[in-house]
Amino acid sequence: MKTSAVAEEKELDASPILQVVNVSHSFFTKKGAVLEVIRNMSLDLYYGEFLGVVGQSGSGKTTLLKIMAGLIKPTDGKVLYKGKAVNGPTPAISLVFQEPVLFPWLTVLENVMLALKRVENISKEEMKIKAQSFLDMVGLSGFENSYPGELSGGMKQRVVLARALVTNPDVLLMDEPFSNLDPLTAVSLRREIDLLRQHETLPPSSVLLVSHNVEEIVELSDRVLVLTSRPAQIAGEVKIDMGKPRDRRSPRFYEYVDAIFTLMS
Amino acid sequence: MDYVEVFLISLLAIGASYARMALALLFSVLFSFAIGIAAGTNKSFEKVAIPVLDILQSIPILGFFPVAIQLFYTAVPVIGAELAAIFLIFTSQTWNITFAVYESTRFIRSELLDTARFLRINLLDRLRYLYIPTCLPRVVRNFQPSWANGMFFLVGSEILTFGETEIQLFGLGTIVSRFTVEGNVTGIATVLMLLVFTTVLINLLVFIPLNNLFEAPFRKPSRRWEKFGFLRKIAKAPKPHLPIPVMTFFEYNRAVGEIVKRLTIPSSLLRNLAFFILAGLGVALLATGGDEFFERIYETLQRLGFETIALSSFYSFVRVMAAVGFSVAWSLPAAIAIARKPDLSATVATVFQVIASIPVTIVYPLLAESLANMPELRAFIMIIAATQWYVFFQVLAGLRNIPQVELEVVDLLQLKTWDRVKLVYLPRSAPALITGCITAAGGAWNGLVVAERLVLGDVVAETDLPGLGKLLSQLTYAGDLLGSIAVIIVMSGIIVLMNRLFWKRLYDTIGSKLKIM
Repeated sequence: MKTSAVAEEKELDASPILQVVNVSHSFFTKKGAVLEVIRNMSLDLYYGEFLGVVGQSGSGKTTLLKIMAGLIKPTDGKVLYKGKAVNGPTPAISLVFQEPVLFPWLTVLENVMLALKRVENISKEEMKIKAQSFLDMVGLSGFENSYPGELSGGMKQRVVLARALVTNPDVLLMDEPFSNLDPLTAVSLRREIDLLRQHETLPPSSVLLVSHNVEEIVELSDRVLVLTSRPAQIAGEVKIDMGKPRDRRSPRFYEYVDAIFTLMS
Repeated sequence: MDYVEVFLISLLAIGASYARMALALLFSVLFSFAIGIAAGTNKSFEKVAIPVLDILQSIPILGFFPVAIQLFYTAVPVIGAELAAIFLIFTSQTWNITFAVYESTRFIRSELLDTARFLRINLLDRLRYLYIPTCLPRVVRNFQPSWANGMFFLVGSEILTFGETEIQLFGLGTIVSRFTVEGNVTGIATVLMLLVFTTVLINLLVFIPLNNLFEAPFRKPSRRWEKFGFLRKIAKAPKPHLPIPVMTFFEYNRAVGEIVKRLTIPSSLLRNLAFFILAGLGVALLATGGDEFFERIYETLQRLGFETIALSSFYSFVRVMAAVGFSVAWSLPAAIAIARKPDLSATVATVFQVIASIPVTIVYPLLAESLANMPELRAFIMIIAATQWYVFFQVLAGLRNIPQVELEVVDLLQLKTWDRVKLVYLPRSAPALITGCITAAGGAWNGLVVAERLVLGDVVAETDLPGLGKLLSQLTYAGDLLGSIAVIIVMSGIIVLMNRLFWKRLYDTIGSKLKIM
């Protein structure tokens, strides 16, 4: 099963792993009025792709991610993972929130192990080993028995990342994961996520990053989708053809940034 | 007496009782604003007032009625009885409101206070534009629980019996006891129906609109409520339910926790000092009547028999703990089951709050017949009525306050029901659960006076086994002032010690274990 999937990957490099098909979503306000957040949106996330999505604050980016992760059922339309409908959360699709959400009464290791509870036929010992290995991977060796309250913001976000990756997901969805970190921590975490995505045997195979920070998006993405303000629709697409790591001060980089800003306004 | 007459008298009696309740609530609000704002803005007053309020609220209110009657009655004979009744209701309504005012004032954002100082706003305007508006939402939210609490003690405060003196104030309590004595089942049923009807009406017309005035959260109108469009029109908001009340001890604990955080050692020293000074003051007060008075209390205890007191305390303690245990046993699963269904929990909360504000002392005559041979069960039902809602509402409030993102993570990680409960719901609701237990235990001790020995006119229903409430009630009705005071001292002592040595420690231990303090 696994080998055939890998074989297919080479062949069908351009096939989507996650598809959003004609999705619309509305909320109800307190006065009973309807607030349309997303209108008839379709997008594809391909194998091995780092897709960036930019939009102004309040443009429904977070709602889009929650729909893709199966947390919210859209008012209309559907989400397909490998061609099959996503009707709820699945270990194959992980989501990292803007704020690192960890349970303060559980140790770092226990917090990561939470994600493995849904996996069948796994012993407690295996869970521990697996969680520990992912904590090592995100650079938190030695902190497994600490409590979240003892960690810095950047370290917490790493724990969340370990928890998101420990189930070997194909898709990692990220909702402005760097916006609450100090600039230096954000730089190193961005780099690590990109390296992980490029790594062939480590999860995830595809990443979707949502942000309002255009430089950040251009630095990491292979392709960028620009959203309109509410209700969110796709205003345009920019393919970024630049080797990594990308120099934020190069003229080429700025051409892309300008192109995206033009689409946004 | 024809039916129209019964109906009219019942209606008038309910009106008279509600008038007393409303007056007491008004006094509660005035008292709360005065004391709460003073404690919230003046640090030296805060250090004295908060521990004093803590002790006052944990003392059994009903036990005070002989003292209160004597005081008010001798001071102003004509309206003294009315005043005594209103005072007793007041003491059951005011504390949670006072703590709400105190906390709201205490935690006003410093930017706002600085702005007020910068603009040189005078005290009156600060009250008008800053303190009162800040407190109002939480004060209003506490109206309903206060009202419900007052209803429970209403019956007891309208029939003021003390030895030879018996004053019956026209109202719910007296009319029910009259009907009970007459064996007028139609009368009791009429009062009960009117009571349920007016309770629902007050909730829909007063409490719900008042609450909606101050909050209208982002919520999808449910299909269920759309069917009851007329109710919505009455309540004039898409959310015809009461917010889940957050009650006294929660507010108290947070308040005290805050003080402790600021001044760890000195504050706990101060608190204990204040406590001992208060206790000392009490002793001094007793001593002003001469050593004789003090000795007489001791003699009274001796007369009552230390063994009787110890046994009574033991049985009462077991009843209280059983009631708290029972409340936890059903509240926890029930609250967990409905907490994440906003429509259902709103509906259940509203229905339960209406039920909770129907005093069990009124319903009692209907139960009396079938439970005549089971005095313990009868008492248990009465204690439960004064206990269970605190636990349920606290736990529900605790669960509903779990941050939305945590619930999303729980969904995302596909945790199984038991893991959700064990790893997230229980830890998140634990502080609220303990707070609920403390409040419930307080309510149960208060309720004992009625539960262990209910007197409605000539009808007396008491437990066979001893109890402090029963003892207190017997002594009070026999006109034994010293005896009453002695029992109140014992009961208050147990409550204060339990709070200090058990509940608060449990709260702190769990808080630090969960790393949420």
